[in-house]
Amino acid sequence: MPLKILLSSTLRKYPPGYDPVKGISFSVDMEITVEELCERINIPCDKIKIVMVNGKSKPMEHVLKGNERVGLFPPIGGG
Amino acid sequence: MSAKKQINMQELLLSKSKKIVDAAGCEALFLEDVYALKIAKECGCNVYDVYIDALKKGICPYRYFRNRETISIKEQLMLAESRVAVIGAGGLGGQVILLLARTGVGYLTVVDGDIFEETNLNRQALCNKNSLGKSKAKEALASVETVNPGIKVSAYPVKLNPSNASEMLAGSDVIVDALDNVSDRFVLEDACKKLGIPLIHGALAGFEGQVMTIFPDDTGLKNLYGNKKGSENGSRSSEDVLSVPAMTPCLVATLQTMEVLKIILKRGKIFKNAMLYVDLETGQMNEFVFEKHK
Repeated sequence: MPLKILLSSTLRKYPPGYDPVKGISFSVDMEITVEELCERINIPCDKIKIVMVNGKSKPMEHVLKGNERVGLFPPIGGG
Repeated sequence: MSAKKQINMQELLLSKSKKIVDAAGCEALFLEDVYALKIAKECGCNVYDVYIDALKKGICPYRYFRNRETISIKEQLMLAESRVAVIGAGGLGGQVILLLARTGVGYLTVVDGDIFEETNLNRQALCNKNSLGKSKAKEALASVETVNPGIKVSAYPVKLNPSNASEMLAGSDVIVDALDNVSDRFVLEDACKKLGIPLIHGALAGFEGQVMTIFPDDTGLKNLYGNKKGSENGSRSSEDVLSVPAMTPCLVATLQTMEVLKIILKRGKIFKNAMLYVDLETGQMNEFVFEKHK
């Protein structure tokens, strides 16, 4: 099942060669939580403050079923 | 203002206004600033009072001539009678303050305890070679006076804290979060919730930014930063790591100012319980909705 992962801000440094326009296309064989997904793509879970699945906020334990867009955000506070 | 001066003001407004017929054949009365200033002097009042009286009579200050297809005279009066507090007069706040002043929000409160320094020159609208070393709040007041004399400004060159917030912010219609760190943002949100005033949050890092409008009963900043105690953990923040180039605060400030206008004018769609997220590098602007989780 395919997933599209989009990273924000400082999270972009973790996957080598991350392209912010394309994001990461990822495929898994079975259902997977957001937390498990992050471990698979080497994004430290403690750096993530917001998880958005298809534009709506979800907890790290949310189970992904495929064909979803996952947005991961660290806190940003500059002004 | 005395009754006699009030009558004098009405006469002066009518005699000094000029009638303009636009391309569509619509007639309207306009008052140029040169006369607004003279009337204020003659009546012993502020230009603010002249604008308010003019707008109440359907006379538009000429400076708003290019607003009127988008913002009606009635709405221009609503803006002129509104009070907006901007907390922080740096990257976000400087732009927000200038936009609100040009748009015609009549009363601004500016709170910032910092002074301008050289590293602010890359992005902060009120920072220039002459303002280095000077109070950001006081420079905001001086800048607004040069942009629009019809705006009243209260400038507080102090850092917002739980004990001084209510005195400075009470009576505001809307408050803008133009701060630069997470812990101060929580102090501001607490104050806004206690006062029952909507807060327009904006923040950025690198070429990315976010905007959210928080009403007193909303979950608010907890959605963005988690619980306040764990929000910064003593580690370097994203904005320190990624820096803050000029374009991002400019755009985020514009979006925040639009939220202010939409609330005051009761128009459009407000980003409540949602984050408007912009990425200038990829050219994307997306809305993300916060749902309540168990």
